[in-house]
Parts: sequence; C-alpha cells; structure tokens
Amino acid sequence: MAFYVARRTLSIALVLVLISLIVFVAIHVLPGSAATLILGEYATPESLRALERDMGLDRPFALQYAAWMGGVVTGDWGYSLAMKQPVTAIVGLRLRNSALLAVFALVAVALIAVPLGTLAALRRGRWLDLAILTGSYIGISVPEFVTGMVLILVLAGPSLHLFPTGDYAPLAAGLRPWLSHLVLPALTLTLVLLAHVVRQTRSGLVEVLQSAYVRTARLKGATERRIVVRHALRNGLLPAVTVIALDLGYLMGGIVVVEEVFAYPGMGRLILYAIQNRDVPLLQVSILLVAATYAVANFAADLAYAWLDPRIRYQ
Amino acid sequence: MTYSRRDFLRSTALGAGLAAPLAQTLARPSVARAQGDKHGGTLRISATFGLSTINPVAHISGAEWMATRWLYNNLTRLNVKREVVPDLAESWAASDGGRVWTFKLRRGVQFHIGREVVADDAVATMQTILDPKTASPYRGEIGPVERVDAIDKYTVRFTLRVPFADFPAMMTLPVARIVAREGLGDLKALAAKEFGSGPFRLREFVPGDRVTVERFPGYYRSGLPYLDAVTLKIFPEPTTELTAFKGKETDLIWDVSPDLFSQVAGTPGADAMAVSGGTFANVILPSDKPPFNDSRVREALKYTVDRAKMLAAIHGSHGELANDHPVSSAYTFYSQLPLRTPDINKAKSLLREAGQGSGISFKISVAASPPIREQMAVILKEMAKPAGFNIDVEVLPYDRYLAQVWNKGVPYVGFYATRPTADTILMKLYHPKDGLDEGRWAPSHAEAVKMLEQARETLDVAQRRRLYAQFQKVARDDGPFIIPFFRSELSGKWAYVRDFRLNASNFEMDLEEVWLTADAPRKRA
Repeated sequence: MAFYVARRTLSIALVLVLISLIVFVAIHVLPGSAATLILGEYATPESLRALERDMGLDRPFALQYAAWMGGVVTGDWGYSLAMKQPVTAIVGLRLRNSALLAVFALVAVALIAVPLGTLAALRRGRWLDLAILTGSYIGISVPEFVTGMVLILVLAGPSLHLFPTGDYAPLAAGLRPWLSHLVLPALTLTLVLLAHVVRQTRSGLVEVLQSAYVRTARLKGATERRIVVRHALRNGLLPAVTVIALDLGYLMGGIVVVEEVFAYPGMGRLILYAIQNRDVPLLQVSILLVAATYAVANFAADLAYAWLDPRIRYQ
Repeated sequence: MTYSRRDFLRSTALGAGLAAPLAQTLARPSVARAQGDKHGGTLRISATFGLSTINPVAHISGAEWMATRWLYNNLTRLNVKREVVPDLAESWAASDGGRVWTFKLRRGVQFHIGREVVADDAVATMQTILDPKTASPYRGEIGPVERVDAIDKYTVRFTLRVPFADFPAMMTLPVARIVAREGLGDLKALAAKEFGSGPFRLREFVPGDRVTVERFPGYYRSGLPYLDAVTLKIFPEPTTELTAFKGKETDLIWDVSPDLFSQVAGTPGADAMAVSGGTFANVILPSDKPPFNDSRVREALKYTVDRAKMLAAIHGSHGELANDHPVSSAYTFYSQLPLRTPDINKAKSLLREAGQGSGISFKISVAASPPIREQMAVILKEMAKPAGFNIDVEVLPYDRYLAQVWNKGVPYVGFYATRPTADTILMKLYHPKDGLDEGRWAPSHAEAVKMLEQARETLDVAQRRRLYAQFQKVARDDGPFIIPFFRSELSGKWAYVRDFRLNASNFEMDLEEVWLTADAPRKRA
C-alpha cells in the first residue's frame, strides 16, 4: 500500500510538470502577449517593447519557462502580469471560494442523488423511476447559465428576493450572509450534477441487486433495508464515487459560467481572466492547482474503492 | 436577509485588520448625524469588467480609473461641463508661448499617509510616468513634456518640447493622478496599495472582483465627502448586474447597454441617466491603397450611411449624430457642419466617377467586443449594398483582432472613448507620430496634419477655433473614417442617491458631493 501511494504521488507530480509545459506552450501559440493585451489599442511600438521588457517577455521561451519553474520549486510562484500582484495573494481567496462552493454542491449532490438513485433502482421501470430519471435529466440538459439565470430571476428577483443575486460574503460577516450567498450558485451546480450521480447510483445498484450474493442475502431472510444499505450500496456506489471525484475537479476550475453569472470570484473566472490577459504566471499556478485537485480527487476515489470493496487491493 | 451596517463594518474591519482606526473614523459622522444630514452611508456601485489593478501609473480600464479617482487627486480636474478646474493645483499659467506651464499647488492638502502634498510629489509622479522603464500604458497621452521641476515647495513647472495649449487638460487624465513619492519606490506594491490624497482611502481591494474605499476625514475639501464608504463590485453578467440593482443590492449601475437601460428607466424609483459625450466607433478605411486611396470611394461609402437609423438600431437613439470626424458637441472646438444625409444615387455616381461603377467588394474585420463594432459593420454592410458595395464582415476574438487586424492597414471597426479635449482625439486618430494614423491618411494630407499641429501650439482661442473648424470639414469630406454617431454613456441609480452627476468621461466619477437620503438601504443605522 505504501509503495502504491508513493508511486501514485510520483506520477501525479509528473503529470503536473507535463501540464505546466503544455500550458506554457499553448499560451505562447495564442496571438499576442500580456503586454499587447494590456496596451490594447493604445499600444505604440516603444510602449510595447518597454512593457515586454518590464514583464520579461522579451526573453527566449525556454528561459522564461526555466525561470518560472525555478521559482515554483523555490516557493516563489511569481507575479501576475495583469494584476501586478504576487500570484499567491490572488489565488488564495479564489481557491477558498471555489473549494467552499465545491464542498457545498458535492455534499448536496451526494445527499440528494444517492437516495434518489437508490429509490430509482428499487422501483426500476415504475413511474417513480421514470420521474427521477427525467427530472434529473432536465437538470443536466438545461445549460447552467439558463438554470442560474432562472434561479436569479425567480429567487433573487425584486418580487421574492429570498437570496442575494451574486457575490460572496466572508464568514466573518456572519453565518447568514455567508450561507445565503452560497445557496443559489450551489443549487445551480447541484441541479447540473445531479443526473450523473443519480444515473451512476441507479445503474450500479441495479446490477448489484441482481447479483448472486444479494439473492443469497434475500434467501437467508435479511430485511430489504439491510440488503440495500449493508450489502448492495457499498458495491453499487463504486461508479458514483468516480463521478463525484471527477465532479470535484470540474467544480474547482470548470464552472466559469456559473461563477460569471453569480459574480462569484472562484478559480474558473480567474483562469478565464488569466487566459484572456495572457497572464502566464497566474494561469500556470491556477491550472496546476485545479489539475492537482483532479489528480488528488481521483487518487482519493481509488482509495475509497478499496474501502468500499475490500476485495480491491493495491500494490 | 438582515445584515446591518454595523455587521458589515465589523466584518470588513476584522477582515482587513483595521478594526481600531476604522471604528474611530466612522464613529464621528454617525454620532454627529442629524435628521436630514447628508453624511453617512455606503454607496454600492456595479460594473461588468476591469479592476485588475489600482496602480494609477499602470491601470488601463474604466473601472480602474474610477477607483483611483476616489483615492487620488490630479493637479486639475474635468468637471461635468467639461471645463478644466483646480484640484491639487490652485492656479496655473503658461509662459514662453505655451511651452512652459507653471502650476501653483494648494497648501495644506494631506496625503492619507499623513503628510502634506508638495511639489516634489507631483514632480516624482510625472517623472515616473514619463520614464520609459516604467512602461506606463498612457505615457504618450501626457503631452510633449521635456522636463518637470519643483520651483519651490508649492510650485511645479513643466517644460515642453513644443507649445501645447491644452496641457492643463492633460493633467486631468487618469494616468496623471498624483502619488506620494513614498509610493513610487515600489511600483509593484502600488497595484494593491494606495498613496493618494483623495476623498476616500482604501479599505479592501480584491483584484478583478471588488474595491471598497472609506471616507478620508482629512480631505482638503472640508466636510466632504458625505459618504462613509463606497464599494465597486464587478458583475460579469449584465443580467445579474441588473437584477442586483433592482433588488437594491447595488445603488448605481455604472455602464448599461441600451436594452438594460430601458429596463432601468421602467423601474419605479430608479433614475436612468444618459449623457452625450464623444464616445464613438469608427469604420477605418485605409487610404493608402485601392480602393480607398480614391477619396470618391470613401465619400461614396459615407453617403450610404443612414446615421439616425444606425444610432436607433445600435444605441436606442441615445446619442448624437456625427459627421465622420471625431469632434462631438461635447468638445470646446466643435464646429457645426451640415450633417451628411444618406444619398444612394450620389454614392453610385461617385463610384462611377471613380471608375468603380461595377461595385466594390471588401472585408471589414471586427473584434467581438464591445458589441458595437460588429453591429456597426453588419448594418453598414446592409446600408451600403444598394450602392454597389459588397462587404464581408469577419468577427474575431479580441486577441486575434489585436494581433492581426488592428493598425495593420486593413478595414476594421475601432472604438474610442471621450477624451479630455478635441486635440487628444484628433491627434490620436490622424497624427502619424503622436497618434496612430490607422487610416494611413497623413502622408497624402500633410497640410491637414499641419493644421492640427498649429492648432495645439497656439494659445489664441479664435485662431484655434478656425483651424479646428477647417480640419473638421476636411475630415468630414475626405477623411479615412466613417464615424456615424457619438453614443451616450448610459447609467442607472436609485433616486435616494443624490447630487450624482454623470460625466461624459464616465470613468471620472466624482463622488465628493454625492449623498444618500435616509431611505437608502445602507444609510439606515
């Protein structure tokens, strides 16, 4: 097990280095630089040259990458080119915000989707099954900006105004403002992610419920509740765990649209900003943090597999 | 949601680690507050983009200019009537025919760091902006400054390379905010800290998301500002921004699109504000090569444009019709010329004269933002079709537009905001050295360009007026741009926000005399 963990950690590190290289190359292939985008339609050849020199963009590509890598290794994550602040100072708040929203959404998804999926599996082919599947599919088929906008207009509109439209509040502002700002974005994401997990729970469970050991459990006279909770769910949840792990990565960096709609400063908006402004140091660190989340979440999912199904052993 | 002002103060103060000094400064106005007092309250403003940095030397967009306007002062400022009025400088005078400008500073003005503003600060700020190593994006806008000197503690002297009549107006520019010289040593730190003397000082700044400023009790205009604090928050999605405004989560929307503007206008208790200035989009017709090197072809295209219809379609008729030159009636040296009306037959005959009777095909490239660029190109395509122009419109992301189209001698749509003076925008558009000459027009019109140089170098107002009028006529008839209209700046606020005046340079948001009535959400104790 220790060997397995070490091997996985090493491969995660390797993946991150590769990603940083790919991002670095990709952003250099795009037209323009941080300097051209900052100066925009006010650029003159002199001001462009001066700014590129100031930002170190006039150095050869390999040298820029090496300098950046050297910084990361020694703990200096660099300066954002567009915001002109240490990347660490910018990323901290966004990472915290994204993590907060991700945890809220994932807990909500798990709490709603697993029981719904179980219920659908138990009532397979009946109207309740159909209703749950259709309902969750509506959530995934409607684009997230529509869901978000509808929730804003209905629940945050002037007539009801149950929750704030967007933005966030620090916990220091009090529990209520803190929570109320999270409700609408978390609800939007829950609606979007519900279908995946419901579907995976249902299909995993349907398969397990037909297996020999469940039949044995039934034959020995176990209650239906005990069969589902003790025997079937542990096995049936495996695919759902994978999906939830992948969703965590998505929530940490892929929810640009939801963050834009709710004016929520998270990692997704930050990455978009970094790309639009060719802000390489900011982009690198942001992407790496999101990639690391993906990798670690997947790793954790694999470990959870072993816990859920003791037959799985890693060496 | 109940969330009292006190909660808000406590939380943000703790967050910023400023609890003690903040409590002191804020306690005073709230204790002294009487019925109908103008003092107190927080004004919450929203915008949709920008706010990357609050470094006045390096900031580049409207939201950033707005924020530094609250934190800093300039030597001069532009009021809503577009007059240059005193700010840190009490008075100024030209000598040597407009080549030397001397500014007398107001005495006793305090920086937030607790020191008096003196001439050395203005000199150090200007030298930093003008130093090429600083790489200030708007360095070129300041003017032909050769050197800056402090003559005594309260006198600053600028020596220019050539006379420049509008120089005092250049000191109103966002880039020319006066920074305490302690702040100029580390320009990187200026991105998140402030060293100003403005009506408000910085409380919290989250780049790309929000800035909160609080009343500076030692401000030189005593008793001002009335507001305790101001928050500027970025809502990237305009619909969310409008919903937040309608729910009174914000008090003022900085810049709204025409369709959202009509929604603000239809909201009871809300004021829709429009001010016409000099903001425009222009179709650039490169005049150094066929087909647009023939002025008849340029004129033919100008004749196809129904300006009133175009303004109605793009900006809901909020604006002023234009005559293919960039000087609107908001500028001092505006000259009223007969407005060009659409005339397809005239356009056709001009094309025939130019030997292009069979029609002309060309491509206009536009950046995807702001949307006015694409709208203008698409409408022009339809309006010009009957005269024989076959226009292909290509929409590009902004980065590709900058890299491949902008200032590359091909037709595209530019976008310019209101500038301090007519000279600024004219030089930018037509001068080959001090500006861009995107239309590649200057080499064939050296005489017209000379007029612009003469006009900026003379102090005689009547003569300047003549020169600018002459130039506007040449630009209208022969110039390389189609400028169909100036679009108004649109904004919205609740009626409880009082004495707010929208500037045509709408990022010059002066909040010193703005106050909230007792029924404002963030004024009730």
